[in-house]
Amino acid sequence: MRFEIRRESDDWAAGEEPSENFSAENSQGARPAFPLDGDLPDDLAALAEQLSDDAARLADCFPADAAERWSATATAAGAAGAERTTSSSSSGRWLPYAAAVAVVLTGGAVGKWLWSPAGPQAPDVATPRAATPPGSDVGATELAGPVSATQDDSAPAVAAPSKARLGIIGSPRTEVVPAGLFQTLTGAEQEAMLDLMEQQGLEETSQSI
Amino acid sequence: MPHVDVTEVSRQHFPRIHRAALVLTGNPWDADDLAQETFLVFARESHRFEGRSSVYTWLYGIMLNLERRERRRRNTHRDKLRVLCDDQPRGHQTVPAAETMLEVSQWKRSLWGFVAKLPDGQRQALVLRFSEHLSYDDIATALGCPLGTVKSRIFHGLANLRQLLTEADNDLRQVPKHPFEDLSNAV
Repeated sequence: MRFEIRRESDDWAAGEEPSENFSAENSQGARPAFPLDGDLPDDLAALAEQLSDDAARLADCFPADAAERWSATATAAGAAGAERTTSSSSSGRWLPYAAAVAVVLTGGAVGKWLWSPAGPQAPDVATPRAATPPGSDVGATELAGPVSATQDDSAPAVAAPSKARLGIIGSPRTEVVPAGLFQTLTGAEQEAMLDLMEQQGLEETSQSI
Repeated sequence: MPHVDVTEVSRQHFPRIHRAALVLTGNPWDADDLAQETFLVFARESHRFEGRSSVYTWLYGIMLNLERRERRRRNTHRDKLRVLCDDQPRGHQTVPAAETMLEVSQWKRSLWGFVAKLPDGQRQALVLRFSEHLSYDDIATALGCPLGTVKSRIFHGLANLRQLLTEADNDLRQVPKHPFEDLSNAV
């Protein structure tokens, strides 16, 4: 929904706010005057001054972190504004989105190829890669191979079973092992987590964790 | 239509918008969200700025509209929860509801905690005047109302604030003293 900067309607004329006025009406029934700050009664002027002091004190307690927040906000706002002022053509407008989608798809395809059964890390069934340490040269050389577009049915279905079973994602050189996750779980919870990983499949597990 | 550098405007006016949001919301987390959303809306709608007013009054207007909308949404949701929970047996609630507004103690102890109980018009006028120190003309521009209405809201807002403080003080006086302090009941 498009944001509309709505202005408050002129519902009240000066001095006519009976629904919002908690205090009793003027005893004389005369229309009250609405002075400026300098002409306020002493008690209201004191309240006004205390309001200002409280606002300044709150701002001191919780300042806007100019070094980070406005920078992040300005970047986001500028990006949002620049997005509006980019070329009017549809291709220009969709260019950043297309670039982002391309990056995501490329990353996903590369990741899928790395861990797919037909990928470079597809091990021989007879010689599982469980013993292969992470970051080994074998993995490095195989990564340099071409991307396999289709999966070979004869290729083994499991790639690096021990690492995948633990939900290790990423390249062998940059593994992300959620060991800390398992350290916080009890024994029964760990078993349940492992069972869940097996049920969901290795690929889904590696993508979800 | 004047060209508006969104990044520069954000850099220049974020602290004041954040301060106003803090006074309105009562906690720095909601203030951050409100301030950032204000500038995101400003970035999207900056092409509509015609230069008839200053940029910061326009920003205040955006921020106040967002705050009012969020406030009404929370009140509506809280009312719905109240209707749903009225039939439920009330146990000892130790966890606040998800829609509970978290206000910091400094805000609750200040006068702004009482200002939050005022109607929207008076509350916003007080914030713009005594927190942001805008002129009456700028307040009228930000709120989109006549100058006389601004004066009325400020005056009535202060008067109602005084009454709220009086009532709160009366409530404190009615709290029974500690039994040990009441010597008249001593045996």
